[in-house]
Amino acid sequence: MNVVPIGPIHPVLKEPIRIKLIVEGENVVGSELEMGYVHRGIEKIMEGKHYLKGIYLSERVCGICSYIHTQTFAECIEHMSKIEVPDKARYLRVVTAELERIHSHLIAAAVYDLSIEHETLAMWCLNAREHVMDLMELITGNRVNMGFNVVGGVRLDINKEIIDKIYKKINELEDDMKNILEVFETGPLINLRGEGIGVIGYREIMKTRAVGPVARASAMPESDWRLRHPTYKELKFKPVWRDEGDNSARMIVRHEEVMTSINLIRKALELYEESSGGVRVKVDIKGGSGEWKNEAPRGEVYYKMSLTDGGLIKRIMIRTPTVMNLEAYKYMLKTCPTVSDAVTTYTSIDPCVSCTERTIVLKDKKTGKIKPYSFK
Amino acid sequence: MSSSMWYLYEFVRKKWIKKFLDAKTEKEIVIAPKRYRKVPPKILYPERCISCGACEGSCPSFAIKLIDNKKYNKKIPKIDVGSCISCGNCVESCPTKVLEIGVIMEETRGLPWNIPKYSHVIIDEELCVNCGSCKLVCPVDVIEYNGITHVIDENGCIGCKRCIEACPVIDTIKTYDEKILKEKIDKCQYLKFEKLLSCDKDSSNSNDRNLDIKKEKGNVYEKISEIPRIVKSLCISCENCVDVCPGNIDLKNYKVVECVKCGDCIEVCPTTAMRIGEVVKGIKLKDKCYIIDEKSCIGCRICYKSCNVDNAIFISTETRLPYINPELCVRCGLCYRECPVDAISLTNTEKVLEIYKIRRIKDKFDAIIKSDLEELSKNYVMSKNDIVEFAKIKVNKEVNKFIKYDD
Amino acid sequence: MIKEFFRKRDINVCVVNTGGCNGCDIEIVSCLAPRYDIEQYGIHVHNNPREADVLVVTGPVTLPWKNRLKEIYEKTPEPKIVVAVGACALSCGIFKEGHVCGPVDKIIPVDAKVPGCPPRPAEILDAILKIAPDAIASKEKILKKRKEGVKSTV
Repeated sequence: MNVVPIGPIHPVLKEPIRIKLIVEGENVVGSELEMGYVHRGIEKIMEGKHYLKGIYLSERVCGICSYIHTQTFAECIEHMSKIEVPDKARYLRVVTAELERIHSHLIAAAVYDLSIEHETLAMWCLNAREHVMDLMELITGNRVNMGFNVVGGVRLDINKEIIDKIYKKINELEDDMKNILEVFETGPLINLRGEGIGVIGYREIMKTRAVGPVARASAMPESDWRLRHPTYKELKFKPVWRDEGDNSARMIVRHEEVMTSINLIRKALELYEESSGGVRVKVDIKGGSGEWKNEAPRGEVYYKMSLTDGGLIKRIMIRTPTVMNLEAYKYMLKTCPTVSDAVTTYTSIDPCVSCTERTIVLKDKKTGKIKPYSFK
Repeated sequence: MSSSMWYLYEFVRKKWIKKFLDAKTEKEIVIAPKRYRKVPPKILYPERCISCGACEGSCPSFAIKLIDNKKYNKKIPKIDVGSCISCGNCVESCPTKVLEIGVIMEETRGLPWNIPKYSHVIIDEELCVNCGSCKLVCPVDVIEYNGITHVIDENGCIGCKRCIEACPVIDTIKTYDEKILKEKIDKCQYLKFEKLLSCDKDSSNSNDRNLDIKKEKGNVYEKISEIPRIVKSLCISCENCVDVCPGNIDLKNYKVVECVKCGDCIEVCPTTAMRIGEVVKGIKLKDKCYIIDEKSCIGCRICYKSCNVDNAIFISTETRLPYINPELCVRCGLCYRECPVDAISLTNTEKVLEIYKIRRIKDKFDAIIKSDLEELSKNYVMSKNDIVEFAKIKVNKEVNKFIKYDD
Repeated sequence: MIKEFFRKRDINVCVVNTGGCNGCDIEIVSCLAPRYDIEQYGIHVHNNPREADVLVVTGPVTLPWKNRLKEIYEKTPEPKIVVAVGACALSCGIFKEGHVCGPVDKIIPVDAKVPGCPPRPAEILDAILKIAPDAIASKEKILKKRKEGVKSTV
């Protein structure tokens, strides 16, 4: 029994996390994750703050899926105090959220391609991603932490010029994506590194409660929370899913979700052009507590909060998708023949460490003991 | 041939060689679009600034400080570049639109916006004298009179605290900031879970908390003398009190339904809305007081009608003109503003007290004489009646005697 | 002389995320993209502190990172340059009240600061290109002098 320690700073990792791989020869037997390097106590800072300050903190839970956090935060409060958001704002939210999903999936694809040593495809993905980042900067005014959502709508309206640009860039992106998808599906080396590695079945998904593309690659399309979102119901959204449950299936689900996102943006923009009115309404927040779920690029985001009158946050709880997906990683490791396969499997679940750095407290139902959870 | 010539020409061209030698990204791609929010926000119109501190309070990363500026002779925001996160809260919170980042100020003008603050202000209805001084100084016009008391609109208030300076009564406008709220929430959670844990220990199988309360009612609780009341205008419905209360609090109707007098709710309330005992009105301005000039007063009694403080203005019985009681007057200046002939002015309290005492003694004297007279006349009437009655009885007796003799 | 020249054209960068939100990290990743193409300027992102010339630190320094960051700073070879990227690294930004032990320059000396939340990739590139060659050269000189000083005293 040998232990290969990785991290917290390592050429492979983009984010600080300490992984201890227990190996026998080349086979990975077990793993141990040591976290807490990115724990900043966001939920604690948010206590007692005004919701318009809290929304920027929730944005900085994670830099890659920053937009969906603000959307969930805003929609949670809107749901609690029964605020009607104008149509224009709802469709703009869909456009921006889907653009962010594209960028997140493309960066996940690029990191996966780099980990299977296919640098060309990674660069293609990154190049396609830059156009999406341009669009987000054009619409919202910032590339990553956009600060676009406010409770009761969105911050800025877009004009005809910007809509034309979005259509143009999206058409270009679709051509690029078709090319990338073809290469990914037919490339022999890519399939060799991906197929049959890191397999997780439907039963284990149910056991570990994995979410997002990880669950959808193992024949679980209903795990997509966009199916239950009122705006997406209008757009007649259909989720993408596969049943192989291995590394390449997970990545193909991500690639195909980019295509569906492009279609969703087109539909949302069409509906946006039909609707009229403003993009923000005046909100009056009443105290109480509520919850809301949304589909982030990596899976389901869950917000539960209680507020005072006037919108001061009393207590907030955030659950992010990677927490559940990391538990599924344990089952995937059984079909990883080598250490490098373990690394590719790790990148294929698209982990986001700074999302995951929440304190998880488990309560044992039988004994009633409360203890902090650790991934082992 | 011609194509090879073209290639030769193309390769030898200076531009191509230069491009080949230092292949760098074109500059046009990296230029930011118009909406890009570059840190820090620019102070576009410093002459418009009213030094209210709305930007300072709205900044989530504490990047803004108000600093004295000699050129404009007032406080002007200074933004720390390192802390700014380009959220644009300060730009949208500014009531006079001084700051600008990207094009947010230009494009969001007129859109609704709730202003985030570090410290919030709230009016105590039990202390408020409804003088309207706060309403006059408010730069954003968010204070309204709702029939019972003055109320600050939480969403529009910029937290400049000018109303606190203007308010004549001490502690009427209360402040609570993020730090206090955080401490109180912490305390509330601590108390709540401590109570839950102790409940678990005592009674492992029964969840009936009422039993525990009854058991402990005699010895542990009864820390406070009476059942606390909830001040409606101060309550922000944070439900801290509901969380710690072992009894029952109905926050929708602002009533304490069931109480064991443990006093926890008073401890965890961030705005002191949970209260026992009477409140005392402390007056800020003690050495000066308003006086009514009796020569110019026309006796319209508008000041007497408008004054919201009990027993602050009396009407003299001698002159039929109003005079002020400096011991109860809060110096709000409402009468001063309402007076149609400018007969009311501000002077030393001693002078007012002197006049008040003279008038009061005279009034009292008058009142005593009046009451004495009344009593006297009452007695006179009563005695008169008595005599008449007595006389009647006597006469009747005498008459009866005469009748008997006649028989 | 030759070494100095090549040092100017060949800079190794190690990115250290000390607890930020990933925003600055992915902006550095997009510097790798063909759009900005950081390697055309001779900058290589290796994430290996032992061969890095420039440490790019993003994020506020969280409690477990305090000692690790010092270790990493000691591990980097001698003309070490630290570039703090983003509001969090400069002043803890929005996380001032959180579980952090302060900005980066409280723990290790910082040579360049790039404000923004997050800064655009062009700004990061600009900062690294501006600071790195000159700073490396000047630090090299100081080192040489110190070595000579040591020799003369010996």
